[in-house]
Amino acid sequence: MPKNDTSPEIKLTINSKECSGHEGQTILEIANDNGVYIPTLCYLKSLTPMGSCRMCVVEVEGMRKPVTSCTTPAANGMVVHSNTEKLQTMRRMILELLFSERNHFCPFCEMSGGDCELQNKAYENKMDHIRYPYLFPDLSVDSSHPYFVLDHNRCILCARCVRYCDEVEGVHTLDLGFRGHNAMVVVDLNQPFSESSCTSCGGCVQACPTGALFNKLSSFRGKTKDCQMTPSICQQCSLGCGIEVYTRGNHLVNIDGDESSKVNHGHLCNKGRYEPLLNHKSRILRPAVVHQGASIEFSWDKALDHISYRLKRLKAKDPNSIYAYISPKMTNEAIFSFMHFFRNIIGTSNAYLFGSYQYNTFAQALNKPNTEYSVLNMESDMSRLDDSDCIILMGADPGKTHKVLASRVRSRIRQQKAKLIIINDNKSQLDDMADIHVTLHTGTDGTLLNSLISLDLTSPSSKQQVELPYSLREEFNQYTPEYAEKVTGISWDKIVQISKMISRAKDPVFVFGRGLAKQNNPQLFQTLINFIRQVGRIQNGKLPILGLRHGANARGAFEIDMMMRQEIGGAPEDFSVRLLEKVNAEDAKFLFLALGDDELPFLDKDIQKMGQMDFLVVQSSYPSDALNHAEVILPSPVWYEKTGTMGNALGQKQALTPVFEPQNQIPQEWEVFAELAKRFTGDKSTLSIEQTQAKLEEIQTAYRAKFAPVNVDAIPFQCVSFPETEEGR
Amino acid sequence: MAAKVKVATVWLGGCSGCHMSFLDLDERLVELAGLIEIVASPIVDVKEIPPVDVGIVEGAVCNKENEEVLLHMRKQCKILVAIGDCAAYAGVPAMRNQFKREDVLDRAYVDAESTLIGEIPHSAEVPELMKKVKAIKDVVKVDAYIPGCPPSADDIYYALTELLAGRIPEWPEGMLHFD
Repeated sequence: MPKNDTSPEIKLTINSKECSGHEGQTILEIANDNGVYIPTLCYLKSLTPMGSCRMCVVEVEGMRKPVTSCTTPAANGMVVHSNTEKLQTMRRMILELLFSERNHFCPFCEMSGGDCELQNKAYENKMDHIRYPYLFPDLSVDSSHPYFVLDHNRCILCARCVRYCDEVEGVHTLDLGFRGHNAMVVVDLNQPFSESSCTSCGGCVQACPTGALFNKLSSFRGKTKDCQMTPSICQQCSLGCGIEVYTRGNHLVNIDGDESSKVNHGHLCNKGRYEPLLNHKSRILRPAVVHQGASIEFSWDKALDHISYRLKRLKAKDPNSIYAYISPKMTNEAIFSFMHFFRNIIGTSNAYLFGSYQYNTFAQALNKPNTEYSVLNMESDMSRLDDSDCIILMGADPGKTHKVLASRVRSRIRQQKAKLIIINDNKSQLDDMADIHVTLHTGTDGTLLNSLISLDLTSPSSKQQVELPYSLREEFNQYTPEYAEKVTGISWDKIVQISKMISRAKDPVFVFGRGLAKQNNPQLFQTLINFIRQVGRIQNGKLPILGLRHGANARGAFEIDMMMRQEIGGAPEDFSVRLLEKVNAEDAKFLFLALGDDELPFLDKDIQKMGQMDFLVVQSSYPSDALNHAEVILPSPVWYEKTGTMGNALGQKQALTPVFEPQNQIPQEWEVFAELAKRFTGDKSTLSIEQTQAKLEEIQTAYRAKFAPVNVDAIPFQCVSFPETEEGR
Repeated sequence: MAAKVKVATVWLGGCSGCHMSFLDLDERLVELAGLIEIVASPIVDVKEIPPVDVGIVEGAVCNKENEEVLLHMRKQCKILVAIGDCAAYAGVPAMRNQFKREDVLDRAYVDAESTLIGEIPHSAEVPELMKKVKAIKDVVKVDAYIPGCPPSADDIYYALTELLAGRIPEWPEGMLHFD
């Protein structure tokens, strides 16, 4: 039960300590808040309490029997005892029963020695032997999952994994099966893990108090107490989940979710938890210059001299023949130094951020010059999902791209707190959970939105915020059922259902993904915003829109890109939609590709374009096809070596803590750009990271102050007609 | 000088690790030698157990011989101490309890990778394997426990000094360990 500060305050005595809390809290919650220790096993703060293990039993004066403190609501004036002799005896009996019920062989178990809560409780309760006969049941081990093992021998049926899978990840792959003494944790319908609906988030492993669920990749590589823990930020997608990285010596042992993170509250997906541990790719470790097909290693100084020599010559002739691309997986400092170098010092207008179109189309939808930063202000953050009662996914597949967000959506749906509508031109991971799921013809989202506006206009319960002129109503009226069906491929019935579901919802949220962004049509976003105005859902100036984008630092990178663009007076609409789209083979002579540890899928035409350059510099952590035509190859640190800051899904700036020193002392990306800059400005010293950050902060503050929030009402309400796609015709 | 406390030790189905841990007492053995006398043990010459004050048992009960030795030990000693996880909890030897005895024997003598043609030994001199491995508390009454796999020399020293002081050792948190 969440603590509710508005409910009346209550006072109770626990172990003769005066404790205060709020009505609706359990005895255990109040004890924890007031620093009174009550032992627990099946209790986990983020899950619904279940009271199955009975470790947390307490005696309440006036109550006949001991009660489980994790499920008993506290009442004003209660007198509670948690450590009486009777309770100690009971706890030890409970532990002995747990140990005798299954096959717990501590010397053989990976969790033994501090990481097993069951063992720790046995030590705490001085259990030096077990009085009950052992059952030695014949139980199986399921090691079919690529990441972890389920060993029933060590399971105490606390159901923490079951509740985690249901309530947090929202897939409910795990459950308790069979009855009484034969009860077991079952995977789906008692299937092997490898054949199950498991999403591999690993949350069950983190939740398991014993060795019943343990990670294959990290087992026997170091107990938690022997590892060093570094809190950091996951860089697998743009959410920016907090992680705890466990290392031993030079080894990455384990990654857990950081419970104090406001983004993920301790939850992670397989991309964040396991993929980094599986990465054994070879790396680029030294700068190299490619000469007649042979790559020759050079010192950093020599390699940068070589680059700046070429840059100087081209700058004198035509700075716009110099092209530069940077990945949104880089830190704020790297993006800043990069753009500063190429735009301000070199003076090219061809410095781009990969994927900036993902924001730009949205920015242009607001149809006001210089509003780009405000877009970030107006867009909702991930926490909006927690209040929403209707989630609409448009061209988004968070189950593949932003998995922690997908689990948030799933758990809302599972708890029946929200409805889910999926509008996509393809199958997506969450389809099975959707209340309404429609597959439309590619690129017809705009027509669907117009039809929805048209439907709402004729609805008697419409809550529209703008009064539309008759002529405009007429225009929308053209979106007849027949036309909508023909173009979108969705049956009219479904469109009516979507309309009804959204208009009934109190707080709908529109989550858009690549499917919408890649259409690169600002008018599509304008129509979406107008639909939201039509159904009357703009609250506190924030649009109930949330974008899912590629690149760990998508949000931070975009803002800096925009800001630097303003500084040099560049045209805000001049964005690169596809990778290298703007690279014009006729005038492009030089290309700097700052990839970092972003592994982008290159198409043949990209590689071909790279081949047409006179000079190509690739800065990358890993070898890729991009190196085929590179003249200079620069190494780049990987996620666990990076220093700097990144933006997260809540719109906040988060600092990265390097887990390891960069291999071969590879400099941070921002340092490389600063070093290059020095060769042009004649400065002797480089700014430190703190100085760079301070400078960035200063420019950002000044930049933000220039823009008031966008006035949505200033956006013209138009009936934009969208092209009928080939499939639609 | 008071008479020394007579101690006998045996190992049943165990790995002898607990006895090795006992030897790890190092110079404290000298101190203990003044207080106790080990009259029978696998690590001294005498194997026959006379009546003693304290009997220390390592290992689980895996076969008939283990059971016989344990029952004899119980008769001969006043205080019986289970040392190590095998004696206290049946431990690692009990991992075979999920399988049938015949399957276990087959695995060891017939199906082993290194065996070409094998058979399960049948001889009056080879003690019969128990159907299930048991902790010694499931066969006889046990007075004190020293858990651990193996218990450290410190644990053993603590237990012995407590016993010498006339107390059954109780394990404070921080000292008790099962591994």
